[in-house]
Amino acid sequence: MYIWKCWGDTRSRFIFFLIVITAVGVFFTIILVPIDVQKGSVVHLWSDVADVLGVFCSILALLAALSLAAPSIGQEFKEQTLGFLLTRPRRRRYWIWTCWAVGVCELGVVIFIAVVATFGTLSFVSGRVYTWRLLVATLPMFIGTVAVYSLTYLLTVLTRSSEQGISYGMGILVIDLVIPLVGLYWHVHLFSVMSFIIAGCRWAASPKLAFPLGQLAIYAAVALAFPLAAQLVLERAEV
Amino acid sequence: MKDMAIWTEKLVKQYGKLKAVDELDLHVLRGGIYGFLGRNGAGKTSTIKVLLGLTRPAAGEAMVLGFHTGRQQVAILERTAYVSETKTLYGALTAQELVRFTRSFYPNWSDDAVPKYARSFEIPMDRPFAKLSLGNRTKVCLLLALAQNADLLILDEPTSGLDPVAVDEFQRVIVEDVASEGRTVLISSHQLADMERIADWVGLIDHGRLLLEARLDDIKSQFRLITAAGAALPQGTTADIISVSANGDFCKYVVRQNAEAFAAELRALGAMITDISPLGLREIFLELVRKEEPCTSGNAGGIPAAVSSSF
Amino acid sequence: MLLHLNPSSGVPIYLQIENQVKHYIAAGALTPSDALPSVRQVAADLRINPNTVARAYQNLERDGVLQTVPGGRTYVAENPTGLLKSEKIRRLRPHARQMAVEGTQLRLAPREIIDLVWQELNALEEAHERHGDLDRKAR
Repeated sequence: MYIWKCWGDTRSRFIFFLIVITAVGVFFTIILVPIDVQKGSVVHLWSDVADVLGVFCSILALLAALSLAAPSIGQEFKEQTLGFLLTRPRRRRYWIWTCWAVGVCELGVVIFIAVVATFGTLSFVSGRVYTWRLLVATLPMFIGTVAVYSLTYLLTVLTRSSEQGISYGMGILVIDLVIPLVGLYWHVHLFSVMSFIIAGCRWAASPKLAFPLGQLAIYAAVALAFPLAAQLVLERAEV
Repeated sequence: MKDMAIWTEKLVKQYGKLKAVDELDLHVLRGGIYGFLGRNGAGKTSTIKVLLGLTRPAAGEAMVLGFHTGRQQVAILERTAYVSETKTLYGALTAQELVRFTRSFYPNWSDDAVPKYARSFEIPMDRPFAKLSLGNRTKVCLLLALAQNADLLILDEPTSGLDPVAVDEFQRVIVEDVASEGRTVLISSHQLADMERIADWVGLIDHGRLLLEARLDDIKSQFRLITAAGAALPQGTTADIISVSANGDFCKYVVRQNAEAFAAELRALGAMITDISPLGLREIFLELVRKEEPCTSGNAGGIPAAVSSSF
Repeated sequence: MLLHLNPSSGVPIYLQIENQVKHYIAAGALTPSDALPSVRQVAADLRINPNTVARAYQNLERDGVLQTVPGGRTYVAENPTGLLKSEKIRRLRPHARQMAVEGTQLRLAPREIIDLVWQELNALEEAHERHGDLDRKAR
């Protein structure tokens, strides 16, 4: 029933982002089609759509990650309902991981549907279908967003407040978005969730590019480490 | 120890330098109603939090229903129902939704109990919790605790905000549905008059220490307040004399038993006994919990020793 | 059986119950082989601890005032006190002493104190007869 509760808390945000991100992806695809068809380049069309996904949709997905992480255990601290929750017969880690998992599933559904709708629209228009590459290319977007989600989740638990968690998460996200620009200026390749996601999306369009497998593993580890840290924090918390 | 519902040994809980719970030895027998009394900040809620695993003690041990707090906490929580001092639940959910949420955790949940208590307590089941008055919130918390069919109920101020009709119904339910089933109830409360009706045992805590733990029947039938005047009156506490204090020229003794014998001793010392009276909970609470003053004979006033009946 | 309890008084509740049950029997409101409500019923009606009621019932049974059958119901005993006369006297003596001490403190003459006891005994007998009349009318 805790799953039901976590779902209820995040349902409206989930629906909102699902609609918005899917709409943005499909919308930009439809705009790009006539432009690129004019240029006569289908390859360009695919990589442009990939960039649409990698940039616009990802930013929105990252915002979704922040938003979905907020109504979590951090909120329980604020609402003073933690005393009720922690006196139910479950280990403390159950609350952490269950709530986290609900958000991860929601992010997964949002991203999957948005990507499928976007590339689906493109396939329908251009007549080319790159199915398995699409699904694999979704992974970096998913893992990257989950990493940001997990970080925000941990921050709400640490700050015992959803507002502060989102604020700090937003701050870190902004820094992360700025990093690639700085890297470009100094010709240094720096770690960034955005560049990781873009690389993943581009791989769907261009077979010659390398799939960012190493980064995938690191971000996946990070995505699991943060809730683990949140678990340790909650287990030591005094209510 | 096994027939104890709750047992603590030298339990300590500190917040910085302040000892909220100071070497507490609590004994709550199974199948009774234990009144846990004390002033605000005496340590009642801190003790309860340790028992429920919400906080960790600095020292000492606590066992609930035969399980250790901390390492066997889930086993304790499966069998314990709790109403907290702050009756906060999820504001957006209605009472009916809260029931749905809570019942999923408890295999022994009684579905029949929900409409029964909803009716007898007159609980609005379809209004969001945040929109309920304090009294109604308390009733919802009570409903969730009672329907759980737990072996142990820990209730922190369970009648806050309740009107007399609801308090009456609460007492009826506790006495009929809970105590008669052999379950154990620990009630932490200020409402001494209510406790006096339904408690078997009483534990009085102040500054984190247990001042008194005794059967209510014993308190009524054997405890006495002796007021005496005279010189060189005994100052110290003993097994039977649990409190000594001054009141102008008089010395007041709270005696646990053998009041007549002690009065005779005092008379033998030349003291004049002005009063030997029984003690209700209110009197005993005020006598033991007031600040100690030195008696007129000049010695430092006696500090109440922790008194427990033997087990 | 209407019981009026004062939980804040110095008298333990179980003792108050015992005294009132004895009073009812003495006044004839309860007669031998009348059934008493169960411990649980009394506790629930009065909002008091069932252990307290149980203790009162047990004490009354020990004193021969009540008896419990194997089925669990409690009745007023057939022979309300199967106690020896010496035991009865022993039980009553502290109450007599109390009356003597209080009466003397109040500067009442011994005659007046004894008259007081007679009046109470007469009142009980009248109450007994009234209950007897009501019973006969009811049948």
